[in-house]
Amino acid sequence: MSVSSPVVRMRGVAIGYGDRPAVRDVDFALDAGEVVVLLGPNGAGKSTVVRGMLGLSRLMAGELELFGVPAADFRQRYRLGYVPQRHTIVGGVPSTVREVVSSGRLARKRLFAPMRAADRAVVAAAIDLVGLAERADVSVGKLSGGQQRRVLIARALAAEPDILVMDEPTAGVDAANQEILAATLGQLVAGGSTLLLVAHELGPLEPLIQRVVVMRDGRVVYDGPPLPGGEGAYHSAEQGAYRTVHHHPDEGHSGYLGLTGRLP
Amino acid sequence: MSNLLHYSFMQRALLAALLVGLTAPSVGVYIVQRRLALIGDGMGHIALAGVAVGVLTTSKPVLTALAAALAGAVGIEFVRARGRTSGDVALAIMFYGGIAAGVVLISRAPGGTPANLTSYLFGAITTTSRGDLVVFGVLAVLVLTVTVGLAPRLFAVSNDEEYARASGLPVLAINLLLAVLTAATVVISMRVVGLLLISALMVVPVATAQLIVGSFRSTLALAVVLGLLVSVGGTATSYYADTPSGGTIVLFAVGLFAATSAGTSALRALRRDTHDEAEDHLHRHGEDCGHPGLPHEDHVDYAHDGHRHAAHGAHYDEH
Repeated sequence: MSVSSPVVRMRGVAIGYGDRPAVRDVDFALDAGEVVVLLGPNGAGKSTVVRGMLGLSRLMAGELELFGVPAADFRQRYRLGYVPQRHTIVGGVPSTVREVVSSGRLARKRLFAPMRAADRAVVAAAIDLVGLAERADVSVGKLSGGQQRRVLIARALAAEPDILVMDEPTAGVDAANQEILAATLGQLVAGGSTLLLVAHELGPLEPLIQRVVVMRDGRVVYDGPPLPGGEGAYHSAEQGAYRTVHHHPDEGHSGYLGLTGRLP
Repeated sequence: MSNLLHYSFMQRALLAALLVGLTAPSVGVYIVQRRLALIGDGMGHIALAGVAVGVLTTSKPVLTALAAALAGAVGIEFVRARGRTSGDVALAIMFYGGIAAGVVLISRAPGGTPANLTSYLFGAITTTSRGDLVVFGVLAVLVLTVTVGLAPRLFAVSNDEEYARASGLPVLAINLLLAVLTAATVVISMRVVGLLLISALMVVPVATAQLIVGSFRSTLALAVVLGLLVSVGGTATSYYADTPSGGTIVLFAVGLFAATSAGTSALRALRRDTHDEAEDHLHRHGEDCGHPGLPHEDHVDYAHDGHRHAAHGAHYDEH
């Protein structure tokens, strides 16, 4: 895989459910090492863009490339680490943090292949990174909402993805736990990770963000650096028909999300 | 005990019970994880139509039941995959259509009596033939090989189907596989447990185990132990008490659940009095954390938003 191809590239993309596109005419590219937030009100189509990238919603028009490969031919789904927006991860049977995080490792494993010591070490490193090492063998049902969110981040990290895609990471999480989440993500960003976040407000993640893509009514209305003055600033920028051309930041970023370096 | 094993029909019934006890919780744990506890029940309904075809055509009812349950499994999974709300109704129509066809067809069969309908529905110890045992054995080996070998994948898909799909796991194939495993388990259980009671043995041992343990792996292991206990114990009891084996097994399972539930909640009430862990903690309490320290017996508590925290290992207890 050539280092220069963007992690994601969308040209004139429409994505939807059933026959109706929920987003259209989306042009968007994201390079390795970038930290981008998709911002917009509920129903603007932010999650749909992400779901289209992940193969969970149907691509109805345009071109979608992942790591330089057309999405239809893309087989390395483990390179996209998905952290869904779920308020609870408790199933009908209790499972521990380690069991849930281990399920993220499977994307890298062949059918019937057992977990090896190296896999278990990656899982342990992922749990450690989100600060849950002491609770690794506790049932996830006993954790707070914010801790469960961190379990989902660790699960995504266990596949050693090239990009972390997070849907509303701070929604439904109390202020104190939002700070912990922001610190965890800050650690990943400091390690050179690529992050694509979906949010309806920046909140405590603001200092991490390098680029903002604002969506409204299924279309991209702003794509550029964060503007001072909060969400209102994007609204006025958009009314002034201001649309920045995105410049690629330092190219040549690649590699896993910091975990490999942490292994013993 | 020796006179029980003296009869070859009892030897076969106990062997069949052993296979049920091993397989039903191994598949059931994933069904419970998905909160689909009643899907096995529905497959039992559909299998009855297959049994009826077998009785009517005087071929082996175990094989025709297997065919019906497999077809039902595939049908159920496709309805579920479409994910429409009408799917619920579609499943109900399949299930009740199956059992209605079964009852009507058996009543028209030459050898069809209310007594042998009852034994198909609620289990009987006298009905397991040598040929049945061979089929059950083959199915059980298949079920156990797949559930052990693919355990991590079955867990991942049952735990979070959407995430599994995003990470590239073959979700539809794994769902179909689980449905087929469920169908096989229904058939293994049809002689001693009966088609209307099979689902209980997939669900109740799992529900009991998770009252005691806190991880998926230990829930599965304990559920298999409990499944073996109630199915073999229930089958033996039904010999002495002259009761339908399926009903006896399920009463054992439910009784064990009730006793465990009462025991664990009593234990929890006791423990709550002495140990209550504080909420997620962002900092270590200490001299400069800003929370006033309050000496308490041999340690220092810290006043935190109106309650007292005491260090206990890596976390804080409420004092």
